[in-house]
Amino acid sequence: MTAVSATSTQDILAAYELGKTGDLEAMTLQINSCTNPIQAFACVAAFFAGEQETIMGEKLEEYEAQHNEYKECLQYSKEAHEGKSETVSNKYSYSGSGFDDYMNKISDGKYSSKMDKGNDGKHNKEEWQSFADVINQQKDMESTDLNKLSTEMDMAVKDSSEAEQMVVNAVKKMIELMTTQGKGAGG
Amino acid sequence: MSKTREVEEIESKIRAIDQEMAAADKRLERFKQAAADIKEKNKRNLKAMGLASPAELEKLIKDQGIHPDGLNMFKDALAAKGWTMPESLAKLVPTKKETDSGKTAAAPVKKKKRVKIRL
Repeated sequence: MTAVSATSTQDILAAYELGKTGDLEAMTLQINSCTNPIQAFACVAAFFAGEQETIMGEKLEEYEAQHNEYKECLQYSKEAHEGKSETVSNKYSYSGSGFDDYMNKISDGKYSSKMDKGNDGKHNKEEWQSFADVINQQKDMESTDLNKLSTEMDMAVKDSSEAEQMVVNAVKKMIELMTTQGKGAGG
Repeated sequence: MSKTREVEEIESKIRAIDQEMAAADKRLERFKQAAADIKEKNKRNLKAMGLASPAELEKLIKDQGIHPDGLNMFKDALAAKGWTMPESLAKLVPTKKETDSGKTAAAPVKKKKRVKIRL
C-alpha cells in the first residue's frame, strides 16, 4: 500500500483521490464508517463542524440585516448633508419621499409635520441640520448594534474554523493509522 | 463663514460618510468570504471521508452508532476548547450500538411502568 503523509486538507483530498483510482481504494472505503474510535471521532467532529457552520450562517444573516440598516442610515445621512449643502446657495432645498419616510420611521413621527405633503418637502438649512443631527443619533445606535454583531460574527467564524480544523486533524490521523496498518500488513 | 467654506465642510462630511459605507461593505464582504471558505472546507472534508453530504453523515451516525471511545475523545476535545456537546449531537448519538469489540456500549432503556390511577 502506498504511504500517505497527510498534513493538510489538500493532502487528505489527494489521498482520497488516489484511493478512488488506485490501491488506496480499500482505505478510503474504511473511512466511511464510525465504528472505531478515530473514525467515530472524525464523524462526530464533522457533524459538529456542520452545526457550527449553520450557526455561523445564521449569524451572518443577522449581521447582513443590521448592515443594511446601517447602510440605509448612512445613505440618508448623506442626503441630509447634500440637502443642507444646497441651501447654502438656494435658501431652500427639497427632500424626497424616501427621506421623509425614513425621518418619520426613526423619529416616531416627530418630524411628520415637516415631512407632510403640504410642505412639499421644502426645507431650510436649520431643518436640514436638525435632520442630520437626528440621523446621526440613529447612526450611533445602528453602529453600536453592528459592532456587537461583528464581534459575534468574528467569534462564530473562529469557532467554525476551529471545528473544521478538528475534522482535518481527525481525518489526518485516520489516514496515518490506516497507512501504518497497511504497511504492517505488508501491503 | 464664507459660502465656499461652508460647502467644503459639508462635502468633507459627505466624503466621510462614503468612506464609512465602503468600510462597512468591506467588512461584510470579509465575513461572507470567511463563511464561504469554511463551508467549502467542510464540504471537502466530508468528501475526504467518503461522504457526499451532511445528510449522508447524519445517516451514517444514526445507522452505525458511535464508538463510545471516539465519542469520549470528542467530548474531551470540546471541553479542552471550553465547549459543550451541542444538544443536536447529543440527540443524534444517545445510544451506541455494539462495537467491533463486541461490547454493548449502552444499556437498553427500561420501559416506564404504567401506573393506574383510580378516580
